[in-house]
Amino acid sequence: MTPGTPSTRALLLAGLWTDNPALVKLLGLCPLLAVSNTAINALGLGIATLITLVISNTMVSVFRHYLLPAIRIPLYVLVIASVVTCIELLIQAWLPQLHRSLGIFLPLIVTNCLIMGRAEAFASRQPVKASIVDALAMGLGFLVVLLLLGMARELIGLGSLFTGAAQLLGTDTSHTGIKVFDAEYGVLIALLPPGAFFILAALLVAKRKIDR
Amino acid sequence: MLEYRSKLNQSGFRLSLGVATAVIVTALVFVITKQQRKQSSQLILSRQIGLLLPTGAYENNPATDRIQLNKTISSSLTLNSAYLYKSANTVRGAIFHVTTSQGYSGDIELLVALAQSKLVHGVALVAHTETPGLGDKIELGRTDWLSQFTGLHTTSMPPSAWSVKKDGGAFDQITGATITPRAVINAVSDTINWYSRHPDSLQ
Repeated sequence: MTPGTPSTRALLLAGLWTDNPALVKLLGLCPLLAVSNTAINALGLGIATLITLVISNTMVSVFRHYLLPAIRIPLYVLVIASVVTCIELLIQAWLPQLHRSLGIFLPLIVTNCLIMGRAEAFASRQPVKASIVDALAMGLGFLVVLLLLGMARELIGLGSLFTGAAQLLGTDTSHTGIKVFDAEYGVLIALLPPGAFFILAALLVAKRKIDR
Repeated sequence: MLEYRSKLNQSGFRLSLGVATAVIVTALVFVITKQQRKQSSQLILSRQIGLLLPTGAYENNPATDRIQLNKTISSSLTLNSAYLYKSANTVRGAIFHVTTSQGYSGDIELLVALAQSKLVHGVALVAHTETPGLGDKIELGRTDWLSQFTGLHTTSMPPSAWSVKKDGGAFDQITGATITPRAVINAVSDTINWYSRHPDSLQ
């Protein structure tokens, strides 16, 4: 291990808690807020983001000596956009059911600044192994917050959890998920964009309380 | 000055090389997956058709028995194509692939399976961009709203029944979404009307 490379443990702790991309760095807020209205949507985007982040961090780290300062940003964009496009084509070809449910999320990932942020701040100056661990930690940290936000919004807004699970699992049978109370009594604002800000704010407060 | 120039050239060269590599890789993936992507979308389509039609109702493969229509039958509804299903070499009905522009945030694509005996076999969603959590409840994986159309006999329904209960019709509404159900109901009803006026157009 080269000097200056954080340990696996430190990387995991940073990604999941102390430097959490969603709760501390507030990166990737656009997809975080837009696609977190149900738990299943959140899970779908979270997984897709995690995979893209791991691949893009790996590629940027492998080619880090090739990236001259002046051209590094366009090259990150190029790497991320190509990776996302290839993943989308491959999923469309071999996992068509998954593509039907994830299809709308995949192009959104290109705009997630978390991925570019990790490429610039970590992968471009660290060895491959550490970059992969960092991507896994950051991706998981993002996924967990996204899932919590999605579960909270769905529970408050619809009174259910994991509706539409069949969409993600790729089964054709309708799956209703867990029903807590009738959707008629849901608080609609939790599903709408303002609700995402309110609940994210509540999560931020909760994290600071725990840290104290 | 000279040093600056050579460095710039180097950056430019590397960037071009990177772009060329990315283009080649992406193009390769595109070409390699082309056949498989086509097969997969055909598979999804025939599976959807299989779900819409009762087993034994047809003897051909409707997914390949396709007629291109491209007919705009009202200001908002286009009939893209029809997949015929046959038994004993006669057309028993068709699955219409239609697009309505009345959706809340864009077009909604549907498959409407109709028998010539004026029976609605079912309606399936192909693509939409409705609000997640609200309008997307028309997806069968989320609620069974779309299954209301299954088994309807169109002759027994007055035209006024083709709207949600709130508007005096026969169909359930969706909480928080007014426009989406209206768009789907109108699309199905317009397709049925067109087919009953042109029963022989698909022979």
